[in-house]
Amino acid sequence: MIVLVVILKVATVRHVFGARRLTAALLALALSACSSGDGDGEGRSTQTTVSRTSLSFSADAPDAPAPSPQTVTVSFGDTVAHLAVIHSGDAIANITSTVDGRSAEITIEPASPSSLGSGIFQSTVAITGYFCADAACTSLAAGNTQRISVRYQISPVIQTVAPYVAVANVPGDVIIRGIGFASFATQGVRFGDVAGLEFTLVSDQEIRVTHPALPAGRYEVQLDIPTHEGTLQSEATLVVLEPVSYAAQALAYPVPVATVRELLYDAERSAVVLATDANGGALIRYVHGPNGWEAPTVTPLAEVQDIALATRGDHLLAITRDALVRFDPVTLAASTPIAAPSLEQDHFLRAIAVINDDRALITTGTDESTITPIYLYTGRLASLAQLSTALNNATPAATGQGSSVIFVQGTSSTTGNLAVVLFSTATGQFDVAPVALTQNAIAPAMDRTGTRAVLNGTNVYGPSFMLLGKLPESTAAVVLRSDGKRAYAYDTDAGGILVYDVSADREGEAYAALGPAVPLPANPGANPRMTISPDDNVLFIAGDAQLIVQPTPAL
Amino acid sequence: MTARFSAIALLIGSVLASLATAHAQSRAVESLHFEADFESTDSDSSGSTSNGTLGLNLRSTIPLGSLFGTSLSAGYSETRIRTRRVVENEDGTLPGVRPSCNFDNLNGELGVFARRPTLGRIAVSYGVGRLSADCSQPSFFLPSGDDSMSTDHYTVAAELYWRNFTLGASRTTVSLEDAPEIETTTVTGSWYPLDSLRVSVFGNDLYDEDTYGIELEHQPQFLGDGFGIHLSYANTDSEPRTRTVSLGLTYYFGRRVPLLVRDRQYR
Repeated sequence: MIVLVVILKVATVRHVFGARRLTAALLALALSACSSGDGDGEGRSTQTTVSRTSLSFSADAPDAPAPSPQTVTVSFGDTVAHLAVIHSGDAIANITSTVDGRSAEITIEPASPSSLGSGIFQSTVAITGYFCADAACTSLAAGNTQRISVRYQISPVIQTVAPYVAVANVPGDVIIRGIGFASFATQGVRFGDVAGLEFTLVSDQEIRVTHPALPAGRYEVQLDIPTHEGTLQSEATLVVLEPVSYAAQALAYPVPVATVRELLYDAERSAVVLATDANGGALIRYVHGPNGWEAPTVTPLAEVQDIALATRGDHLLAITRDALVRFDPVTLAASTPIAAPSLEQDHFLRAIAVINDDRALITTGTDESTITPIYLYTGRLASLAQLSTALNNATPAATGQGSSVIFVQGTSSTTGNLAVVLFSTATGQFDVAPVALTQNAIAPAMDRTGTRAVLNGTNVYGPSFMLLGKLPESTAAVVLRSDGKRAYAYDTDAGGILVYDVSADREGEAYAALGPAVPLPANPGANPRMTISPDDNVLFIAGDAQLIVQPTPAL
Repeated sequence: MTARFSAIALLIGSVLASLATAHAQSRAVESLHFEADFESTDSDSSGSTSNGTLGLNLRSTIPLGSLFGTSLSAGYSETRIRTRRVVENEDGTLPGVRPSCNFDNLNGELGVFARRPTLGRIAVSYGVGRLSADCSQPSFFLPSGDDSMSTDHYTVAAELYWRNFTLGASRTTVSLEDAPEIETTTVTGSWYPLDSLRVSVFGNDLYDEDTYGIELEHQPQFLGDGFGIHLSYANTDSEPRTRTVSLGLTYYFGRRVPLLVRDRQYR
C-alpha cells in the first residue's frame, strides 16, 4: 500500500501518467491486494465432507418391514453458515439431522417396501454447505456439494410353485406365484441348479414355466435376475417324486364311517387322508410304507367338512362348520383354529379349494337354497376373510395348477338351474360361466390346467364351457387324468372303473367307454369320493365302507 | 492482515489530511438523494448448486452540514437454489420430485461519512440483516441451528478521488449470531472514462480467499440521467470456484446529474 500511495502522489504532482496507465496500475494494485493477504487458504474452510458416499438398503420382500435407517457423518468447515440436505428419488422416506459443533449426523430412513413394491430404487442425497457471499453476508454462496448415492433393492418373493409335486423324469408346466416379478428383468428360472425351459412372465405375480425332466428330489425355485444382488427369498420348492405303483387293495376303516366328505392323496408323503364323520368328525390317514399300507391313524376333528393340501403341501387345511384348522401333514397335529369372521349363526363352512398363491377359497352353506358369502384363506397371514361374493351352497373344484376354481351351486330344494361360477387366480375375479345347473352329490372334477371339467358326474366341458359330451348317469364318482384326455369314472352299474376318452368332442352326445369296466377289489360303499395321484397311476375311492386303492387302467 | 490494516489506515489518513486542509468547496452531499435498485444475481459454484437471486435495494443519502452526510439503505432479496444438478442421475434424469430450497434476506444499514467531492470520503456504517431458509428438506443455519440467522456488521471505508479515478478500500466485520466474526478487506479501483460510465475493478479477501471482479455502471444520457444499469462479474479462487454475475437497474430520484457527479456529490 505504501507503493500505492507513492504512485498516487507521483501521479498527482507530476501528472505524468495517462488515464489508461493509471487504471492499469490501480487494477494491478487491487488484484495484488487481493492476493497479498493470507491467501494460502489456511484460514478458510468452506469444505464439507461426508463419512460415506454411498449407501445400500435392501428388503427381502415388498411386504417386509422397512430396513433400519443408516447414518452419515458430515463434517463442515468453520465458515459454513448453512447446511442443506436435499434428496431426490423414491428410496428415501425421510432424512433427519442433528448438529454437534462442526459436524452433523444425517440419518437416512428408507421408504417402506410396501409403498414402493419390488425393484431397484435410486436416490441421491446432496449435502451442500453455504457460506457468506459478501462482506456483509447479505447473501449465501454454495460451497462444495457432497453426494451420497442410495441404492435400495426390494426383492421379489417367490411364494409358491403349483403344482408343487412333479413326476420324476417327466417335464411339466408349473405356475410360479410371488410378488414383484415385473420389476426386474428375469432371464430365466431355475429348479435347484437346473435351468427351466421356456418361461412366460404373465404378471407381476405370476410366471409360467416348463420344468425339464428331473430326477427325484427337492428343487428350490429361483429366478435368474442379473441386476438383483443376492439370492431371492424363495418359499417355493418343487418336489419331484418317482411314479407310484400301488397294487389294487381295499383298506378298511379303523372306525365306523357313515360319510366320507373328502379324500386327498398326499403324494409327497405317500399318504391318503380322509375327512369323515366318524365319531362326530375325524381325519383318517393311511401311509404307504416300505411294507405297504400301514395301519391308519385317526385324528378327531368335530364336524369336519372338507380337507385340502395347502399350495406348498406344508399344511393340511381342514374346515369345520365354523373354522379353519391347519394340521401338520405328517403328525396331524392341529394348530389353533381360525374362526370364520362374521359367520352367521345358521351358516356353515362347506368346502375348500386351494389356489396356487398360498390361498384358498372356502364356500359356505345353509339348510336352505340361498346364497351365503365365500371366505378367503391367506396362508402367509394365516387369516380368514369374508368376501363380498356369495354363492348358493357351492362346491368348488380347482385345477391341478390352482389357476382357476369352478363352483357348482344349489341344493336338493333348489328350483331351476344356477349359474356355474369360475374364479381366476390370476385376476382374482369371479365370473359367471355360460352354464347353469343344480349340483348333485358327485363332486366336480378338473384336470391339471383346466382344459376339461366334469360337472355333476356326467357333463364334460371343454374350453369356454362348451359341452363336449356326457358320461353315464350311473357314474358315482369321476376324476380326470392330468392332461384332461381321460376321465376315470366309478360306475356303480358297471361295478368298476370306466375309462372315457374325453379329448374328443362328442358335441354333447354320450361318450363310449374305452373297454370294459375294470373291477375294484371291493365295493367302496355309498357316496364315494375319488381322487387320482399326480402321476396318474393310481385311483383312490372312498365310500362309507372302505378305501379302495386301484391302479389306473392303462387305456 | 497487518498489511491490509496499514493500507486502509494510510488511505484514511490521506483522506483525513486532505479533508482537513481543503478549502471550502462543494458540500459532502449536495442534496437529499434517493435511489431504488433492482438486481438479478447468478452465482454458480462448480460441481455444486447454483443460485439465482432477485433483490430490491433502497438507498438514500442525507446531507449533514457541509462536510458530512449520512446514508440509509434497506434491501430484500430472495435466492432460489437450483437443486436439480446435484440430485439428478448420471443420465441426467431426475428421480422423483426436485427438492426446493430458497433463501431470503432482509437487511438495513446506517452510515455516516465525511466527504470532500474533490478529494475523497471516509465512512463508517453499521448494518443488520436476517437470512432465512425455506427448504422442502432438512436445512439449517449452523450458528443458530434453525432456519434463520441474524447478522450484524460494521464497516470502515475510505475513498480517494483523483480526476476521473477513485480508489477505495474498506474493512467490514460481520457477526453471525454466536459464530466467530468474519473480517473482510475490500479494495476497489474505479475509472470514469465518461462522466456517465464507471468501470471498477475490485477484490476482497473474504475467508482469506481471493475474490476479484469487475463492474460496469452506466447512466445513459438518453434516459435523462435517471436510470443506471450495472453489470458485474466476480470470481472466487477457491474450490469449488464460484462465479457471480449481476445485472441491475437503478432509478434515481431527484436531481439528474452525471454518474461521476452522483457518485462524488450525491451518493
